[in-house]
Amino acid sequence: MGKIRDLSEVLDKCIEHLLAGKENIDQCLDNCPKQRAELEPLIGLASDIRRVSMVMPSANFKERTRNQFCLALAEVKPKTKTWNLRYRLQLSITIALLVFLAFCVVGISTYHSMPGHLLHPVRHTFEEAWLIQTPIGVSKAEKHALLADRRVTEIIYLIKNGYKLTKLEQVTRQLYYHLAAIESLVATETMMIKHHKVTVEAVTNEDHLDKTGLPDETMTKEPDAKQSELHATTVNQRGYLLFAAEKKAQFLQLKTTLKQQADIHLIELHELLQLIPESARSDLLITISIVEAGYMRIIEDLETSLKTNNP
Amino acid sequence: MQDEQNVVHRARQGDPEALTELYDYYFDKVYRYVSIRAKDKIEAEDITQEIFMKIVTSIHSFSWRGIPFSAWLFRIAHNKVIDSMRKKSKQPTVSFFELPVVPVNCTDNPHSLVELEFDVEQLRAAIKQLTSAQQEVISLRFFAELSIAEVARLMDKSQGAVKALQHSAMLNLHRILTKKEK
Repeated sequence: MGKIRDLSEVLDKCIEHLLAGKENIDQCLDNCPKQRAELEPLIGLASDIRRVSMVMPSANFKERTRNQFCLALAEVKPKTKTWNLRYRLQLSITIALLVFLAFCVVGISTYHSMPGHLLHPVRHTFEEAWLIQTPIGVSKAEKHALLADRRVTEIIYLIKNGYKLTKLEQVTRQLYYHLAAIESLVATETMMIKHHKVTVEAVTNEDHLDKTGLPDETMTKEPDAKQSELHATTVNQRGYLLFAAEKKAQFLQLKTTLKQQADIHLIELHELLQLIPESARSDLLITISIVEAGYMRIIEDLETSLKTNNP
Repeated sequence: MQDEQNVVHRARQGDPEALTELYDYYFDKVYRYVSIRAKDKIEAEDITQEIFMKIVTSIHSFSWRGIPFSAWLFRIAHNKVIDSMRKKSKQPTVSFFELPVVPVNCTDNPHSLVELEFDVEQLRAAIKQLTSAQQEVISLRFFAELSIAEVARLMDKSQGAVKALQHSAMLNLHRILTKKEK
């Protein structure tokens, strides 16, 4: 076995040298006298094969193939580029569509997520961000109203699906937070209307006193300056009227929204009372009282504000 | 070829000069490899053309990863030869005798040319009697002029195994050719 391996090695070395033109047959055989007898016919054959293998293609065929090769090169190159561009474009569009689709799926899933779902905390984070970027005012109160509505839906979902008390308490607390926020925002807005009204009334009264003939600096003013002050007062009054009218419309809209929500939710929650077991009723009653009291308080505040600040 | 890796890299980028360089370097070797395996000269020419057309369209898919370019190229050549052997051509075969095969350094000697043509046919017939692995080693070593290392990579065998195959192929060829002479 070892002898054959040695012979294979020596034969290969001789073939290598023959092919490279480094040695001829005799030189090869001289280098390995021990294997000379076995190698001689094989090296001779290798030399013959080497000579025969020098078959060359005809010049005509070589030229013809070269021309075809060059033509193929010219055809393939732009094709490859176009394909690459098309491929890249298709790939980009596909990736963009997939990303968009993924966003849509996650967005929809997040929007419809309920307490206990994987994406529900994400939804809360979005809600917080949504509230933070809204300036204080009636529009913020409207957003809180939307979220309060959502919380009641979640409470109904929890009760229908065998809630955990901690979850129910958590959502009820969040509902309370939204209702309290609406109440606070309505109070702030009402204060602002009052303040605006008081300011305008004070200016108007001053003007009125001046016209009654009491001694005042304005009496000594030029007629043009006096005219200008009167014009400013009129502008202030108009500004207040516009502001108060706008707020009234917003309050009315908010009141309608909240009233509708309260009516629907109270009906839904009371219906639930009939469906759930006795043990769960006390929890639901607490929630109902929070919903009822919270909504009613805000609606009353809004009505009071609309009456007292009626422009 | 000097800096084959660089030339192949440029060819992969679609550089026509690099592809032409590879073509010029390998054309004769590929033709010789195919000619000893093919049925006749026409088939050898057709297969050689197909191989180089295939290289133009698939050079971009070649990656080094430890495989030399020659191994990739002769793998294509091997597959083309096998495909061709499978197809049963109805065309009459044209022997290497009947076509002008031009051997190196023998163009001025008509006697030498006749003798060589006879040798080619004889050798082709003898090679056909070897096992497919032995045929492959002889074609790659003597006609494609690949080193033992390149042949080993191409055939997915160890260098020792290829040397042993070469040895057994030479012994068999010698036996076949000697028998014919007798």
